[in-house]
Amino acid sequence: MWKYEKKLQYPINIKKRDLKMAKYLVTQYGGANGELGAAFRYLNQRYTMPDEKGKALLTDIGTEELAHVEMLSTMIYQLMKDATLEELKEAGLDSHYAEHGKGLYPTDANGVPFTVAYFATTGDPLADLSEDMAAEQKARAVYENLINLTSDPDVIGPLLYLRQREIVHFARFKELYEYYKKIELNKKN
Amino acid sequence: MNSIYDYYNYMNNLDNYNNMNDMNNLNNIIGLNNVMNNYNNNVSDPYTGFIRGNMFLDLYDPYKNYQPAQVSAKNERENLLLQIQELAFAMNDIALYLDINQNDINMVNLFNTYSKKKKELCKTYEAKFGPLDRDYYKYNDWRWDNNPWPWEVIK
Repeated sequence: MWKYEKKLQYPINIKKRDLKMAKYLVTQYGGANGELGAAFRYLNQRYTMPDEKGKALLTDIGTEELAHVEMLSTMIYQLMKDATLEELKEAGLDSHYAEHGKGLYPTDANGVPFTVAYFATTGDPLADLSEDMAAEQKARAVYENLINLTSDPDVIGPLLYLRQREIVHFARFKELYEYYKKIELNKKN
Repeated sequence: MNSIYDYYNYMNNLDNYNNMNDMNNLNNIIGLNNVMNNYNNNVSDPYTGFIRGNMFLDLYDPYKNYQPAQVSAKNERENLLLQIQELAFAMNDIALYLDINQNDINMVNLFNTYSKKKKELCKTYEAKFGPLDRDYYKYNDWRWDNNPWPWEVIK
């Protein structure tokens, strides 16, 4: 069961409309390395983790990623708020408007819809944790690309924060990976 | 003030936070930073950890020369909420560490300290500004929908 708390994990208050940035940012919502994929990748992999450590870590990081989905959605919503049709056309969001109006929709920056293929689960804890480590690194790299694409401090602040979370999650997955690897080696010897 | 018991007592006697800097001032006044150093030299104070997005000094890895954004509150509601967010963040980051390091009792104690403080702040917030969490709903009328949703721009 999940519990909703009526707050963001980190405050977001974007005052300036920026449709181009919304169009890029959406990839961290619904792209291959985005937060939606991360959340359900971990929550889907946790069932076959071999012990309490793995089940706990994947549950807790997966849950935190849901809070990041909310942060990204908030950023996209605020960046697009009150946009005119002309502005949407100019930013290349007219095709988004045709399909989804002003609603949010998880895609990558090229408009490719979210797919569960991003969950990438093998059921092998070492393979799954390697996938998770790579996913965190890729998300970190994408956050850096996004930071390079804007000069708005209201956008950069949350992006720096989210980038740092990728670094912490990577370190925890790596710690768990090395712990499992050691157990496996000990079994063989 | 040297021990965590002094800190608990201090926190128990403290019921009002109105200044957004109180948490940080408090850390200095009552020596929370020292208390934490006794626990673990590797942990940031909650405000620094929160704005960085990382409670752990050895894991902190800034991007280029960007500095973390300073977060501030425009009113009492935002101020209380920020303090709750800081403590919730600290607890979450410590929890991820504890998930794979269950035997670090000092970190469990630190988690409990923040948890207790967060509960007090949530109580104050909810009494004044409405529910954050449906589980602890305690009003006679339905207020879940009458404070701002987190994604709304606050003017």
